Amino acid sequence: MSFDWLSFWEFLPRMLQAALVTIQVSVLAVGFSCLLAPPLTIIRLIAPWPARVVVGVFVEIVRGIPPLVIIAFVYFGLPAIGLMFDGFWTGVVALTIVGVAYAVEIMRSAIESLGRGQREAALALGFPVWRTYLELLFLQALKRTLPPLTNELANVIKASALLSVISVHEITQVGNALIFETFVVAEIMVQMTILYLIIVGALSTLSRKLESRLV
Amino acid sequence: MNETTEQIVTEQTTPQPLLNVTGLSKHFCDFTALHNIDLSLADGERLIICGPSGSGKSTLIRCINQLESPDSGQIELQGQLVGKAPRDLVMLRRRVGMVFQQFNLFPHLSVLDNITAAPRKLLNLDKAAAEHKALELLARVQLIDQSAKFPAQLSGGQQQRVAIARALAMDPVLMLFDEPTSALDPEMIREVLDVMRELGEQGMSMIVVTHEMQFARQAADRIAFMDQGQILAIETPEDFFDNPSQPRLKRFLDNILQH
Amino acid sequence: MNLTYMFDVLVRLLPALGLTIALSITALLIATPIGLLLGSFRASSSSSGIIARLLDIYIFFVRGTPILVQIFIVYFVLPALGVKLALFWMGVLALVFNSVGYQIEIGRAAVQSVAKVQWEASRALGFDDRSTLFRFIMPQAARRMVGPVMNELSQLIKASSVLSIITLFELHKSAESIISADFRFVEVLVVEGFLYFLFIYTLSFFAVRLERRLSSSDGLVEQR
Repeated sequence: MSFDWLSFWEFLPRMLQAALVTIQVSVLAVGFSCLLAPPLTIIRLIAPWPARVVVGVFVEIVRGIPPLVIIAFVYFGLPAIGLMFDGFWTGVVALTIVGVAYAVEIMRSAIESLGRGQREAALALGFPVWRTYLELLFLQALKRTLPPLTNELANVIKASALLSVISVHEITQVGNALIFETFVVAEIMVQMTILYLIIVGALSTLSRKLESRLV
Repeated sequence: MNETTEQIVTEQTTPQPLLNVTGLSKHFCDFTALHNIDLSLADGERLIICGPSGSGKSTLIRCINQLESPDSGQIELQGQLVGKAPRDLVMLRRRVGMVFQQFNLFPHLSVLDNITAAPRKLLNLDKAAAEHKALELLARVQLIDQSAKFPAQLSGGQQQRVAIARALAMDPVLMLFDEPTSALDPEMIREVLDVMRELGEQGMSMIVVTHEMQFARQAADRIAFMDQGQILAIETPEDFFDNPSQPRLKRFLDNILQH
Repeated sequence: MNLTYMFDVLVRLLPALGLTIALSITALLIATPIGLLLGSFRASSSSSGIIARLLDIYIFFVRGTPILVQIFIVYFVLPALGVKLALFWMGVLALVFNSVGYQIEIGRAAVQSVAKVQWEASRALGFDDRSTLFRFIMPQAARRMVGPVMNELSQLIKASSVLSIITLFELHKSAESIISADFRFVEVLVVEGFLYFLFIYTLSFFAVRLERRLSSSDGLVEQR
């Protein structure tokens, strides 16, 4: 069995474009997750009873079912409520929902790991509860959220492969289509594997650098 | 400014107490931490609370600034009843300062920022004014040259003094101390007690929960003894130590004054 | 939301649920002992041996690629190499391949968390390292693995849903086909989600409880 280098180079441009889509979808999803997670975390921690429960249940449910089910839900659900997104944005929405649930859980446990003392000192000075969390506790907890959040980003990148079922032209979808078109298997699989390893690997290195900068 | 007052204010000529607590009770599950506590504190008075573990001393002062919420009873500060709404609690806590056993400084902020955080964010003081005030307070607690350091770089005694300065930065009318020296190495207890003693001599009203009996004898206007959720005795230092009226108190004193 | 219909869907999905559980548990039963073995190897030998390096590459690969890609590798590459497996076993193989990548770490941490003094006590009695490992360390490590392994099972159940893409009729694939037949996606997805959630959440819940209980019953206080 020899490696078909001709096909390898021939398909590379399309795979690289697909890699770009993978990165775009993942970055957007994680970006939105990071924007939505802090307010949701605060609600989860200190809002009155009904709101707290709603967020808590949402987080537990999303974390407790396979991402494919969430993707199916979004795929069928968005048009049903009148939002005709294309595959790409449907994918972003689905990954954001998954990402937010995990991000809220990460932030919540980071803040709770700080212990009571900080919170009480701030309250004793006269900070209202929400300002205590937002301005003091969150900042401190930030450092503790970095490692699990990076892990989460890697998970989102891997989950983006699942978007192939809704025809988002990311790495897995394009690779798969090529395999079925051309029956070239090994070379394309190698490309897919290497691309994912590079993307996830680069991410881990970047985040390690970021972590050491912030410590 | 350190006048001793009657426990219950009846005469017209005696000024209104700074703090008046009536009927305070607090339960945790089936355990009663506080039984119907009545307490009043005059302006400028220094009260020390002591007693065995579990007697409810910490719970009592934490109820005063509402870090614990009492099940019944009421609290009046400067003649005004303290309400239950979040707004009322926040306003109360800005007028009452608290120093914790574990210091609880904000580790990600420098000493200076620790002290200026609350005045700047809550009282809207501008940076220059807040820092000026912070430096004054640091001078008072003898830590003027540590302003740029972070809590992790300071000793326990230094951290606690910063914590005192931080609480003072809000210009409280009453300072609460919850076993401020219990987590300190013996060598550092004195520097913190000296700061507290000076604070009291300058007229600050304070309630201190502590085991430091020497300090109580020297710096208190009244000493209260608590056991099992009740105040069993509340006397002047002389009467407290030399003439204990309660047998339980006598036992307590005998035990702890062995050394 | 028609409850009668939903109940009907639930009943129709039960066989598929059975397949999902079968896939996950089979994969777990194979992957966990392998994980413990390789993990204890990883924990006790030097970190520069050839096998250790190979293991690291393997773990890097498994953690750095989506499980779908790993499933495709099994699905496409195996037949190309002449290996003929039933779809069920291809699925199990892919899940095992993935799970071992994570369980090596679980095993390694479990072995390392067994207090050093255990090693010392055993050596002092005259046992060689190999016997120590198998007689004393691994049994203790296995206890500590129970929590993380339960968590791993819930991860496997989630991962098994991806096998739907190679047309294995587990829970997700079956639910999908009901949706394409009846078009009532909300009710079907709710039932499907409920079934998954039941297992995954219950497992995670007990995993956390067990982890706490087992780590505190050793008499050693472990910092978490």
